[in-house]
Amino acid sequence: MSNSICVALVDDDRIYQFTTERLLQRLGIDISFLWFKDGEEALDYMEKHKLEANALPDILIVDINMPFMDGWQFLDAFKDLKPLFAKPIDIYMVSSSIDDRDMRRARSIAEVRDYVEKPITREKLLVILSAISRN
Amino acid sequence: MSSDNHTPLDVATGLDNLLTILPAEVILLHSPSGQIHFASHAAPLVFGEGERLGGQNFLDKVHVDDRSRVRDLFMEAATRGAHPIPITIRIKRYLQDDAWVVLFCVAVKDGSGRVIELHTTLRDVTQQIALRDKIIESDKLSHMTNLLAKVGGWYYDVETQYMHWSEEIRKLHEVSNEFEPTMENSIQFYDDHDMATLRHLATEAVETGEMKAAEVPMTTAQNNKKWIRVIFRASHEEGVPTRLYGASQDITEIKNREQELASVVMELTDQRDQLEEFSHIMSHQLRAPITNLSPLVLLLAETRDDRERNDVQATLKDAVEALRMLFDDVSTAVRVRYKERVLEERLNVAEIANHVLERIASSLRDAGATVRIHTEECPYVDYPSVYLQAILQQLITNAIRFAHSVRKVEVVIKSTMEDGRQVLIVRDNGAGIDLERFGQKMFRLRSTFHRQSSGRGVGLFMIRTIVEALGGEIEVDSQPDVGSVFKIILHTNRSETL
Repeated sequence: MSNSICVALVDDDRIYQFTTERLLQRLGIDISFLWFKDGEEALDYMEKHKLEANALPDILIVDINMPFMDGWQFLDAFKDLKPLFAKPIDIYMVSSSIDDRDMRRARSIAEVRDYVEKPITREKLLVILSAISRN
Repeated sequence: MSSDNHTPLDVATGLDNLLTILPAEVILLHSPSGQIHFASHAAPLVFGEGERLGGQNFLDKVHVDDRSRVRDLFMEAATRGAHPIPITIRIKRYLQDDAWVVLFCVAVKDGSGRVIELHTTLRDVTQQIALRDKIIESDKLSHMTNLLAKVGGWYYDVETQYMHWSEEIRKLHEVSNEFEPTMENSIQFYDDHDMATLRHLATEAVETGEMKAAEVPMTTAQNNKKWIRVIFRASHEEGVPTRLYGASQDITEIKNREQELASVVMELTDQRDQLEEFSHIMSHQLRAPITNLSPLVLLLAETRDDRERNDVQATLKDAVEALRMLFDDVSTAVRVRYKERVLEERLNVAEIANHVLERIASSLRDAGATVRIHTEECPYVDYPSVYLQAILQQLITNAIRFAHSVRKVEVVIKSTMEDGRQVLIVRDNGAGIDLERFGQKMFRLRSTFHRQSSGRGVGLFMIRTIVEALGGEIEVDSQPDVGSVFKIILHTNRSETL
């Protein structure tokens, strides 16, 4: 487990979760996978496991446009928790939106590694995985 | 109008001059037919220098239009001994314009009572008449100006406490001829708040000596609503206020136009917001399920394993179905908003509500829900039946779906009147919504507020679309753990008196 890369999706879209999980599995890399249906669920989990490096994801791929708690609200809450985590976590904001404002906003936030437009392709996943901060 | 350039100053100066002039007076003795026997020494002042009157007929000196009146005057004086009422006529003057004179005539009789001749007194009133004409013209002009500008004037004398209203002010207030304005009875035309504003301005005008103005609504004696602009200015003598002057202008039309303009701006803003929302739907909501398709197609092409292939296929089917549903929702909303105009009818709210309850009876039973209907305050509303049903059904279904975890569902449907407008209220005791958190998104497409919900986030969006398309408004008040109250003003700009 400790050598595999843990990728977490924060997204309410079950179909997107299904495809992304399969695309990741077929990259031939040792990857574990987490899925949270909304920001609150993700925060609850990470708060609970904040000291367990093995349980925390290495990469968080957060959808901007979620019901209940959206990506921006999640990010605000995440910033407060960030110093407590047992390891660095890379955050990517994703959206199917073609609204420039979302991209500009995402890229202006220091905690966000990048903004990725949906659909996430295999190539984009490889770029994200190779840029991982862990060690 | 020949003298529309007369200013009040001209008139005042004219009056001053007049007081210093003694009108020339001429006495004539003449036969009843007008033959002049004697003219007093002032005659040249009236008839013009160098005019000799002796032997001439007075009637020849009279303006042709006035001759018959003078003849009548002489006739009456000759037969009755005097003409009791002086007449004003024009006489021709030597090398000058006509003069206006007042004539007074008595008969001179001999011992036997026979009329020997007539004794006529002429008083030159040319300047007075000219000034009178000026005043009349000036008054006409100001009256006409006031009429056009709907302005009237008034003053209040501090010492005598006398209040004067011009004719226009009386018209503006629609008061009867008997109405005598005072500071006290002027209050009745304004509500307390506006009266306080006017009092404050009047005080300021008195204290500062400056002009003060305000625009306020008023109610006339005939109970008509008007908007007026009031201007105050005080006059002082040796630092002591003597009079408060005011002008009031009827600006109802301007105000109405302003309000019309504001409502047009609001409508345009609404449409812009709708357009923005639609573009949001296109760029966010509709695009999301579309972006799901291409990775699924790719996976399907790559998958060799049969079971996995079935999974991918099933997911692809779900994705297409989700897209179709979303597309249907959006096109329904667009149709409601822009195209479909369903006929409005007078509906019995209780009847419609009961009809809806019958339709969803099984889900009500399953949830153990009770629904109470109160329509006493407004038994009938004007709305398309199909939309009223859709709104009620959606709100009741929501109440069941988002019920409180412990309490049984209770819904109250109420129709009432607010400010003359038909209002529908649906109250539930459900889980409630955190408005601070979701307030802005409340009625958006694909917004859900309950984590364990199966909602597609369409219901409230659709209700709002219907309500707004029919010119109404929807508001929500909600508290987590307490419940929600939805208030729908069916027609925002339509009010009626019951």
